[in-house]
Amino acid sequence: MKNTAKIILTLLFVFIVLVFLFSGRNQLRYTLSAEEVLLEIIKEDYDMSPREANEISVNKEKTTVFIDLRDPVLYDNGHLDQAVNIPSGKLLDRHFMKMLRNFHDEGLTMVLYGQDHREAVGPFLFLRQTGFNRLKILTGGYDYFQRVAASGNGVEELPERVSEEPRYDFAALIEEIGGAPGQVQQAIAQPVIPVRREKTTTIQGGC
Amino acid sequence: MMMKDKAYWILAAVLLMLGGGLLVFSPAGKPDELPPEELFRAMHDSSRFLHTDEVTRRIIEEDPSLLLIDVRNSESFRSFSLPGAVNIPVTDLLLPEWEDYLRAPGMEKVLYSNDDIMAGQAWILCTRVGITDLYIMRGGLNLWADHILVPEAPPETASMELTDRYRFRLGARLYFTGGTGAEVSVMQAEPIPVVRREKKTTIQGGC
Amino acid sequence: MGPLIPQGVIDPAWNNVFALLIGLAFGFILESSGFSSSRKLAGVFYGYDFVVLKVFMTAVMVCMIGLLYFDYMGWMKLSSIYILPTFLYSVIIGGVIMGFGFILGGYCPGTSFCGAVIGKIDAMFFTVGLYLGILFFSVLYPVFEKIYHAANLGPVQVHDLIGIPAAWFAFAFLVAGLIAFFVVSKIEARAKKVEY
Repeated sequence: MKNTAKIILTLLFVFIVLVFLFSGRNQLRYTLSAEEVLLEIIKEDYDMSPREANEISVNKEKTTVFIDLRDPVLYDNGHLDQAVNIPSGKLLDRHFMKMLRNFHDEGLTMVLYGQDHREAVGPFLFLRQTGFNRLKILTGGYDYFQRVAASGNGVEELPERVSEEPRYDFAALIEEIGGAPGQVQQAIAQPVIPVRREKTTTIQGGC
Repeated sequence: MMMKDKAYWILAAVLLMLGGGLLVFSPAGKPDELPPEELFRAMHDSSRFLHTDEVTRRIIEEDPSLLLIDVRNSESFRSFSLPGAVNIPVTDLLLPEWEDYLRAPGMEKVLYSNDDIMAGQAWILCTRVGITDLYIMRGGLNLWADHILVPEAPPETASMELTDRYRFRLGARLYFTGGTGAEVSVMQAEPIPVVRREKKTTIQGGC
Repeated sequence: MGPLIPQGVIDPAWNNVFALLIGLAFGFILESSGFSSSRKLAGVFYGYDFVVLKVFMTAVMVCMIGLLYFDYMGWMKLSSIYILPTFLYSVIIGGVIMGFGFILGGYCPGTSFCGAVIGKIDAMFFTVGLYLGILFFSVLYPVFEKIYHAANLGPVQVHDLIGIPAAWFAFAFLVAGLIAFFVVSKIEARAKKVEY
């Protein structure tokens, strides 16, 4: 009787240990600290121009792989040569993650693109801080790439909503419309510094 | 006595092994960081974007739970910013002096930049370090100016909804450009349901 | 994933059910390990019985290791656990008072109830005293208030204070605990047997 209990307990213990070992396996981990991610954002050296991308595409360079983050439907309708389709919502799916790891291990540069520029920004930053370091973003996304290609790789104006450049001189615009300079500036109220709420009473326990 | 000692040594070995395991699997990152999987899930939750009209309405209504955060550099901020906004340039996001703003309980923090690329990057960074109730103004100031400062009149055949929205934008334009006495017809928009994450959970206990 | 109730995995209405179940188990274990005898607790101070130390240290160690692993596995974030703020003076003064109470009465609040329900008269007196103490403190709260809230260090953790990773602290604590167990078992062996 006592022995059965012992055996059962031992088995339970072994089971728990096994569960521990297996459940921790495919876990993602941050490889960059928050500060390093910030530096990465500030550096802004991760853009690849469509022309560069086109050259790679034409020369069939083996050091680069394009990652199409759009829906499979859009991918089927047309994509860059040498592009693999990994929809951005499914990045974490096991086989896609494995694929990305393989590219990474082979030392390939991964160029991410979506329909427009911004679609790639989030996935880029996410992958960048979870262990991938040879990443680039195709400037302007697929739309812009096509337009550049259509213009015969001539210089094409950057499409809207690619950069953080302001499209208006906001202050001047407001002045122009309202004709009352300074009004807005006055309206800027300094918000009250929020006081962090103290934890109210807590139930204290004792043995 | 012999038996008892044996039990002690076995249990001690098990505990030491488990403790040693902790040293090997040292936890990644700081404890209040969001795990990568959750960050990924949060990134694909579209409720993190707020529409420019929604932000405008809340500015006009002087919503006390709204905290606008301008992540552009201080120069752009001085030249123009939304009323009540706090300037936290992207480069300064992780500085401890801004913690009280970013972690203000009960406030909905709305990040904006000229477009929403930089705000989006800031969002990922801040969400990763565990800041909650964080939103992005979709399209940033550029789209805001498109909508509010130079609103496009809907065709006459447009639906009531579109006309109402246009009227709201015209009213808002007056508000922002210095028409202090102007009547502002606040759009009766359906409030976007915001799923508030529970505040830090408390588990109290004693021995 | 966890903690289960605050995260909404289990409905908060179950709170009291769990409290009851855990309370029952706690009481049962206290009683069955002999904690309802005042001699057992006092034994720690006189050096003939260290079961209390062993039980609570083991509980702390198991809990600590478990939580750290849970955090590592992502099952339960350590940050989602509420840590009581440390009020330095209250802790020191309260600790001294409680320690004297342990030696004098031979019970801690939990075990006094265990003792009372199995009919130990000293435990019943202890329980009455416990409530008198609570009353005394509540009535005189305005007098104590200042010192009660003094030296608030916030929810600090030792490993943060000395600036080492939590895992290393846990390991050091484990080693210290195991050494303590070994030492007290030697002391116990030397002490005179006490009948309960």
